Amino acid sequence: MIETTGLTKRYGTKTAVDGLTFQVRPGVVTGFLGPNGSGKSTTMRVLLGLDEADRGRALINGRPYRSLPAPLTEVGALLEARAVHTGRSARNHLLALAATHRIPRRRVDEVIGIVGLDSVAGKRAGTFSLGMGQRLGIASALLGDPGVLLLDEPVNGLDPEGILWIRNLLKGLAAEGRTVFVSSHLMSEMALTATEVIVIGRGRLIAAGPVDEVIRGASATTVLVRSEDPARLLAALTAAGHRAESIGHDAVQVSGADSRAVGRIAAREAVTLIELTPQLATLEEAFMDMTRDAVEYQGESYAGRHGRTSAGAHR
Amino acid sequence: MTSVGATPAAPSAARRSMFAGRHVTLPSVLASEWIKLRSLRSTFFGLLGAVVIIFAITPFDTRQGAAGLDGMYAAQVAIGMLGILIVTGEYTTGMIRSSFTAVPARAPVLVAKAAVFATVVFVVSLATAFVAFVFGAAARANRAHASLQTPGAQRAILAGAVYLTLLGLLAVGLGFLIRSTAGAIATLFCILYALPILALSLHYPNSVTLGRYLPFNALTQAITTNATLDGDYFGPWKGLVVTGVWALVALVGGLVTVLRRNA
Repeated sequence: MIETTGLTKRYGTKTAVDGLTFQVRPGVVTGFLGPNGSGKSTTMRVLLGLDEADRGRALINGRPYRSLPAPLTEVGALLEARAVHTGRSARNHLLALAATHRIPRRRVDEVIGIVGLDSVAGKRAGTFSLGMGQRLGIASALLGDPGVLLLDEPVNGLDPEGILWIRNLLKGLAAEGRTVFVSSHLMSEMALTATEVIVIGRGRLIAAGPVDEVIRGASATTVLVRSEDPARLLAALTAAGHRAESIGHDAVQVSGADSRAVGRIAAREAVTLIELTPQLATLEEAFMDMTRDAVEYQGESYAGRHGRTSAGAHR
Repeated sequence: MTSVGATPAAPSAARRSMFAGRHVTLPSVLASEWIKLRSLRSTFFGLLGAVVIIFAITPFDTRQGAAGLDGMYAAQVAIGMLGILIVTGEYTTGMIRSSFTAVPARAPVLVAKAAVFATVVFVVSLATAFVAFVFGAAARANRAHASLQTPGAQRAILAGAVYLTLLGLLAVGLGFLIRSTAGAIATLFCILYALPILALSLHYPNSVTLGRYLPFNALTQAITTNATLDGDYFGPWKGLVVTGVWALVALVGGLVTVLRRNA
């Protein structure tokens, strides 16, 4: 269980996190979404006691992280891509972390196996690719068999096979009753992995809840309707107060109405319908709609970054 | 779209780790820091450098009453840089975030790192000083220089090792205080060499008034036999106390920094 109440963190005059309140429950994967600079990493750093909050509380299992007597057995964290000494081997890195909690050596070998680093565990972490570094970070997070996992951009640098692996790993960990909190800038990835999402922008909460609800709440319902008399249908829909526009020679797109309402109007007007399809927004579109206001303040530099492919846009 | 296979567990049922209750303690952090220290190649090379320097200088240390430990003037650089690197290396690589998430109280990390490093430096430098003295004394026997029976000779071996240990602690403290490798090394060089040069440029007795409080002169007094002690400066043990105060100030400053600043 992760819980923040009115969490606020400032760096100088910049407010990175502003009165953030949310809860992350066990048993499901919860995605943590927001544009670059929206305060995701700051929130995670405060949750882990690396940064001190200016106001509000950040609790894990009801306690501030820094008061946990055995933190690795309660919380596993993957911070930025690298929080590993480049001169030390993966196995020694894990052994050093394990020693702080008297976690036995066999557990170190076990997590190395889980993340698939057996063949390179004796090599210095500095020689690792980004993907291998991520796997080592995930091994560190799993070391203490914690009930809560905080993972910042875990799919960064992973190949398609690695992404599939982590998707299943996260779902499996959640199914075991763990709290799994994952930040990502890849909305499509979160749509596949997360059951719940928390969306923030400029340090403030924008939306929270089950993925489908968040999508529905964010984007207006749109229905595509094709008919043999689109002009009459368009007039009738407009007269009924719906926002409708003609697209293509026989199609009309209706905003703010569900398919039932559109079907009834068509029946009343005795217009033959060829197709009646509710248009479902993707999480990505919903995210764009929700965070538009939040990113506007960042001006062109953000728009420029956003236009690029995911490889260029992540931090 | 959302997962179908995963059945959410009852939210109230808190999952218990198979390692629950294994609290972080100072001994467990000491064990961790020992693994960290011995698993880096820089540790081996740094210590080897110090040992080689001490052995290499011994045969040329032929002054009357010399203990053959003048190599420590250069070896202290190797020890100091190593002490800095074991700390700043964690900051530059991001390892410090792993260290502080495992040990969120933070102070045990500093204490354990300092303790483990100090122990290793003391053992290595005591053994090196002893061997260097004995072999050096044998090599220089025909010139009637110091032997183990010479007054102050055994003290020089012990005090030299204590000096290098305290210097290592000063370096660890500077690492936590400054965090940047270059900045910490520059500061260490100022303390070790720039300040003594500044002191020498002053007129007597001001040169001595400042000089007595510098680690460099504490080393000079520590590794010399009684016959060649300089009465203007503090005696060997008092000089080591002064060096210890330098180390303590750096460590306390480092501790305050670690506890107050964001990691």
